Amino acid sequence: MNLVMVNLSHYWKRPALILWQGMLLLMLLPSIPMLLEQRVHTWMTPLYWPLFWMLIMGTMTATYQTEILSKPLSYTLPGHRCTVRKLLFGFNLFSSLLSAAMVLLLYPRDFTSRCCAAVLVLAFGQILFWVGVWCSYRSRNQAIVGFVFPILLFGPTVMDSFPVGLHWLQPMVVAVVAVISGIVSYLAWRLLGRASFFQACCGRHYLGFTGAFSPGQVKKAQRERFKAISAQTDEKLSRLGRFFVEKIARNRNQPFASFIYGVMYQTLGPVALMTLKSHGTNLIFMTLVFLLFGYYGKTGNLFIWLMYIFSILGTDLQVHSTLLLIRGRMERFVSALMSLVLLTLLGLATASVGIAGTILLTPYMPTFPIRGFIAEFHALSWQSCYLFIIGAPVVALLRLLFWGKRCFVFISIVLGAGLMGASFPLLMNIRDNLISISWVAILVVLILAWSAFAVYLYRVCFHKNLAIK
Amino acid sequence: MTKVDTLVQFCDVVKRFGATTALDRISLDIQPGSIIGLVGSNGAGKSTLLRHIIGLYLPDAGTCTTLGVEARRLGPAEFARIGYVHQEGELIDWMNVGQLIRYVAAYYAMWNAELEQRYVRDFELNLKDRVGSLSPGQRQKLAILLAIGFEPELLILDEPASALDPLARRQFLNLMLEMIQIQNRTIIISSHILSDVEKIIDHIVIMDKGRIVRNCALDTLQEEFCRVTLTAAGGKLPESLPFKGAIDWSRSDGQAVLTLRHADEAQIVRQAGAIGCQAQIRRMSLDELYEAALKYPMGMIIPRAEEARG
Repeated sequence: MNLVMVNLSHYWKRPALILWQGMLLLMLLPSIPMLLEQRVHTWMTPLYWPLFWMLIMGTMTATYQTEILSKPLSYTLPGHRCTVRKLLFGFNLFSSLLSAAMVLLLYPRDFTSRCCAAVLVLAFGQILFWVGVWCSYRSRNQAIVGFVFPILLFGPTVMDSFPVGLHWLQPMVVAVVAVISGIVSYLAWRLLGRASFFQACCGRHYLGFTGAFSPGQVKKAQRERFKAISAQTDEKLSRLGRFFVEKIARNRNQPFASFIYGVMYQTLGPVALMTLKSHGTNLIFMTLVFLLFGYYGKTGNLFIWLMYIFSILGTDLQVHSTLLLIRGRMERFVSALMSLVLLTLLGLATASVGIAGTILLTPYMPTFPIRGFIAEFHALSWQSCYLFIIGAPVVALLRLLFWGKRCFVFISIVLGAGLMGASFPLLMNIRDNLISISWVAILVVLILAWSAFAVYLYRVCFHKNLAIK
Repeated sequence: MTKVDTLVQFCDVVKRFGATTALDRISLDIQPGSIIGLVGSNGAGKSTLLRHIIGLYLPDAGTCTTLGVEARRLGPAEFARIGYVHQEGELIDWMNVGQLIRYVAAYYAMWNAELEQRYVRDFELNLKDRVGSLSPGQRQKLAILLAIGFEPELLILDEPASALDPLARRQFLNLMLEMIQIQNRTIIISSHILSDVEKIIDHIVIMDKGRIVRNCALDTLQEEFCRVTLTAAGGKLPESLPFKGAIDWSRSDGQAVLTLRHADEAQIVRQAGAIGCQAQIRRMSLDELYEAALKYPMGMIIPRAEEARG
């Protein structure tokens, strides 16, 4: 078996990859009806899916190639470097030709426009493919890239909002894109031939798509991240640590209280470790999210709480910790339950700050027309906060159910994509019904959700093993 | 603090993981002050047994009692008396060493700061180092420090020295010896490095496929088996060697090495003299004893001829 075949054999030998590949193909399906659809207001939107597919193809192909290259054994194999370049260009050619062929056959315009669109997809798809490769190479954790993709699902909506006239689809414009694409491909060819590129990949800790399924690999990746924390950041953490350590020590005789402080410390500690730049990025991101959802009106309210529900997935309630401490099963149960209550309250508090911000900003926010509608900014409200109060125990229950399972990351991604993508049209339709749900119904569901979590938590804490076999 | 005669008691404990029986009707008593070596191959059930002691695992049948309390009901009062170093070495990676020590210490009223400082120095731990960036050996040292910092009455060590380099292992063994001699703790240590364990334990529990194959004082095991090197005075050994209880042997023309069970030293010397040989008897190492005990569990009748033939 030659090196190319050895490299390719990974694609069908690993079940997780087959799953990803299946999903990748599924992503191509929505492009077909959209391509066939005659859209009057914009010619660009139907081309979104073939291009989106190219980006994903680039990311996924490079992810696996980088993962292979990070293994010192691959690095030492003679001729393996050329294999990587060959494969990346091969995949690029295959997927871009497939996308272009689809456009050529299905795009419902006249022949010239169809040809132009096909060449445009071929050329621009190349660029996107290499952008995907670059993202994959730069990111040490592919699971994060997986989380970004669902956001791109909103692409067609955004494109619809900013229509580009048909006069842009002409040979001259396409030629410019093709030239840029040629330059990018040439640079990629050069870079992938450089020894320094392979040296940089070799031995580097890299969490690929498949690695994201392995708790051990994820832990390793986290450790790598912690290595880079500066002393200045550490000082900030020490202040937080001193506060919690003091609280824990003071409440030593009330184990429940001390463990709740422990869980809070372990939840907030990693946040304190984030650099100023990361805090700034998060703040900007959150501000943009609140502002964007402000323009969505009532649906925006629902989205904010969905986002908070999703954040609970990343919270460890320390039920299964094998760091012994003085924690019995009863202490684990009570502290986990109380910690979730506190985290929910903390979530409500931070969301309240954002909501208050939108109330203050409402008079100053501009209105603008989109496709015949007037986009108006509405202050977000607490009206739908029950979604978070109900969702938090449900998500925590899911986390408990899937604890230690390799599929947890996958489920998180699917759940995230599902929540962000699929719920959008659903919420648009049912928002009024949701808001008009009666008090009693909300209260009943809330009690049910918390009871279900508490009962299962009790079962885990008192009747199950607390460590992985 | 309640005084109990038996620190840990297993009564017919059965634990299954799917089709695998990890613990098969285990009964075991651990007395205060004993240093127990828990040995066995991978998958023998050592870690499972240790996790039952602290209630991380629950038995499918039988009971496990620790410090007089059923293991599943252990609470802060009992955990304040138990130290545990686990195989996976779960620590909080985002803290630095100093922060983690402070965090763990905050839970224990009896935390010995002096001891902590001494081991930080001896183990060459840098308080500013991020826990997640420590080498496996350093992590294990830190885990040991966290488990002994509050001077527990019962110390459970699950493969504590597997990632340590030879120097650190020696340091660790000295620490264990000191704890045993000065502080009179009860220690249960599971390890693959039997040569290390041998130096500190006084009691051995050998496990195989979820069962306890042997549970006795180390001295008893050492007296049960011995290794004899026979050298023929005339240059050639007789074809038949008349030693009872030979369970293993290898021979060349002039020399034979036999592993004997329940043999009397004086009798060996006498029998060797009778066939014109010189006998050199030595105690077996724990490695050899483990192998012999696994091959011939307690009560097993040696299925071969009672004489070692060439």
